[in-house]
Amino acid sequence: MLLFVVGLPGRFAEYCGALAAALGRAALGPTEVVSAGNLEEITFGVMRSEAANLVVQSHTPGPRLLAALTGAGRKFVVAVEDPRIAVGDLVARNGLPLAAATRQVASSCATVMRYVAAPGALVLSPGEAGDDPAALAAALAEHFELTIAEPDRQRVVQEFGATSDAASDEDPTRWWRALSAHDRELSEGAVSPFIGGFAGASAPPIVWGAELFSSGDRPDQTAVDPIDITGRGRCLFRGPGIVLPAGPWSLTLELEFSPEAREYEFAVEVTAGPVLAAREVRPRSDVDPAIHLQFAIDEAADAPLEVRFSSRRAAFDGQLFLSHAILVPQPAAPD
Amino acid sequence: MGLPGRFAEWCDAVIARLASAAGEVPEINTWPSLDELTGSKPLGSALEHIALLLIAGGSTRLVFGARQPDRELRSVLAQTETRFVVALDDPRAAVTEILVKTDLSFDAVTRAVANSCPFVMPYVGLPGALALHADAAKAEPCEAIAAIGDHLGMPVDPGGARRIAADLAEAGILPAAAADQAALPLSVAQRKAIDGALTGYAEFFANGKLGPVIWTRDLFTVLEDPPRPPLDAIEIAGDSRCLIFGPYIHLPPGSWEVQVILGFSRETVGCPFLVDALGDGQLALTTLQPDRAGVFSVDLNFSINEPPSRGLEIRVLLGRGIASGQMAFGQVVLRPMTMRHLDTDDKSDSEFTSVLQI
Repeated sequence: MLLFVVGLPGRFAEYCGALAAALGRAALGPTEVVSAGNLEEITFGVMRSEAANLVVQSHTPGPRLLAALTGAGRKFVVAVEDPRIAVGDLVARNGLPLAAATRQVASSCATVMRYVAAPGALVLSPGEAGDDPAALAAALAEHFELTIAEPDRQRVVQEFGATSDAASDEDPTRWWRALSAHDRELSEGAVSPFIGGFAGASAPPIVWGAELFSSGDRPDQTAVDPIDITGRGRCLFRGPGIVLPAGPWSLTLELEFSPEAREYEFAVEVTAGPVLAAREVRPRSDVDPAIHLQFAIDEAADAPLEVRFSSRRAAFDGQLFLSHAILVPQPAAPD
Repeated sequence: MGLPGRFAEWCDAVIARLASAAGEVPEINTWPSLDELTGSKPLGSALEHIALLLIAGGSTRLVFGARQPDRELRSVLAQTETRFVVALDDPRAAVTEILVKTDLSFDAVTRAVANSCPFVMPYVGLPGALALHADAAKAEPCEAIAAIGDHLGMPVDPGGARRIAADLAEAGILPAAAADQAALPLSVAQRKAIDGALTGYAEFFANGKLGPVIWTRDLFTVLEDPPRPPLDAIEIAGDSRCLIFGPYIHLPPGSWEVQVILGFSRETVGCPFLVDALGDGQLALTTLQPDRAGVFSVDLNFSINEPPSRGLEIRVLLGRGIASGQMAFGQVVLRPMTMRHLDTDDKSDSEFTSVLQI
């Protein structure tokens, strides 16, 4: 049997997956948890596992998996929590740099949110059943139609509680409070619009700080420092590689150009697999240096968004500075 | 893994029976279907297809009969050390069986089976493979059933193997071809087309050595309205254009020596013709300018790492406009060259990587 738990890459989704596996072992026999981001990885997980039953846990479940689940009438669990806590878990427990953790969680938010309203979804969050392991186990067992007698389920919960890293055994906000204001701002800009669900066109803007972008010449370096445009025409910065929710979007790139850089032409391209938008940029001193682009993300798309900013020809001198990018969800065009 | 024919179906059914005896009730899923194999749409990924079947079935157990198993599936089988069966049969027999039980055209079926061969070939040498030959299974079906059971960890005693063989025979599922190609209403040219496209693979599946592949004119198309195979000389008067193209058949990875046989009438002397080979991009191009009327062999050489997404295409193009003239298309002979790219799973690959520091 296959049980699906999708959720952010934080402790709550992991907890739900592990508890579902414990319930699966009690009801069905050997059950393992496998992580899979797409359909191919599900097959890989099934072939690698010896167990006859699997809990498939996915942090970036794409639209094809959603279509497969809903098409087959399968039930699944959507474990949602405050994405800032998920960022904290990735940094504090998995040792990821803040920018990488923010990218992962932001992408996860955009993909997981599509599952919340889908048929077959049981949406769980730490504030509700999640605070009570017994209630959470009951909800999981009922949703997955796992037949377990009440005493057996209580035993599973007790044994699971004794061995697992419980969802609420630490103060998850402590790490967050210890962050500098700048780091909090960077992470919140990317993930806060997803707190409590993504509200579509009425959601607050998403802000991607320069730390989420990388230098065109040095992919291992962030684009926080001024970028020297001297040299041949080339990509100057790119990023952030984050999945966005489907729908129309407006992108504003806040840039500053040195006087020398204003002599040159640049190009900006937005891709998510295919090219979504592109334009030339001719910075001038007397106009707003912000760059605006409009594009739409398709419902079936799950590729991360990439902004590429390039110089069009060789430059002898000049610098530019990326402040941040602002993404504002737009109302859908009437049919 | 196997060609789309009776023997692979028999192996699928044996595995399903063995699994049933072991307490599982798996469904047999064959991918791609014959319609998909003979169609023109891209087939997609085997791994994705398996995942969709698992989700739809709600189980982690299924019997998957792959007729065009791709590189990604091969990689996962190797990584997970999964055991599997490779059903080896004469591909010409597979064509015969499909033609007997369907209304499909001979060229579509030949193309489908020829497209399956290069995908099945690399599986024979994988560590988890049990390669079974149709002739051997036909002679000793119970031994073949026992070998499959042992290999897949579902051992069966001789009595159980006999019961499975008898059950399948009663259901009309036999390990070897019952149909006779001679009984089919095929022309001599059509039989030659089947033999040419598949005899090389039959040699590989029998003795491990890939023989030459010959694509006859029946598998190509003249770009006319309506399109037709270039069975006769074609009038080529007119502007520069593509004259003949096809056959969209996959080849195994490696280096290939290709001869395209063409005939030209006197009016075409001095006129440039281009012959090229296309995979996912252009693989080779040769220009030919006949200096007299007669038959010419145009040589192309190319290498392919993996079968291109929609099979190989050979084109003959008219390089400039011509007032009158005729051209005849003979055939394309493809020979594997001795040099081939080593599979990345090969141990020597890592040695080269360290020695050459690449």
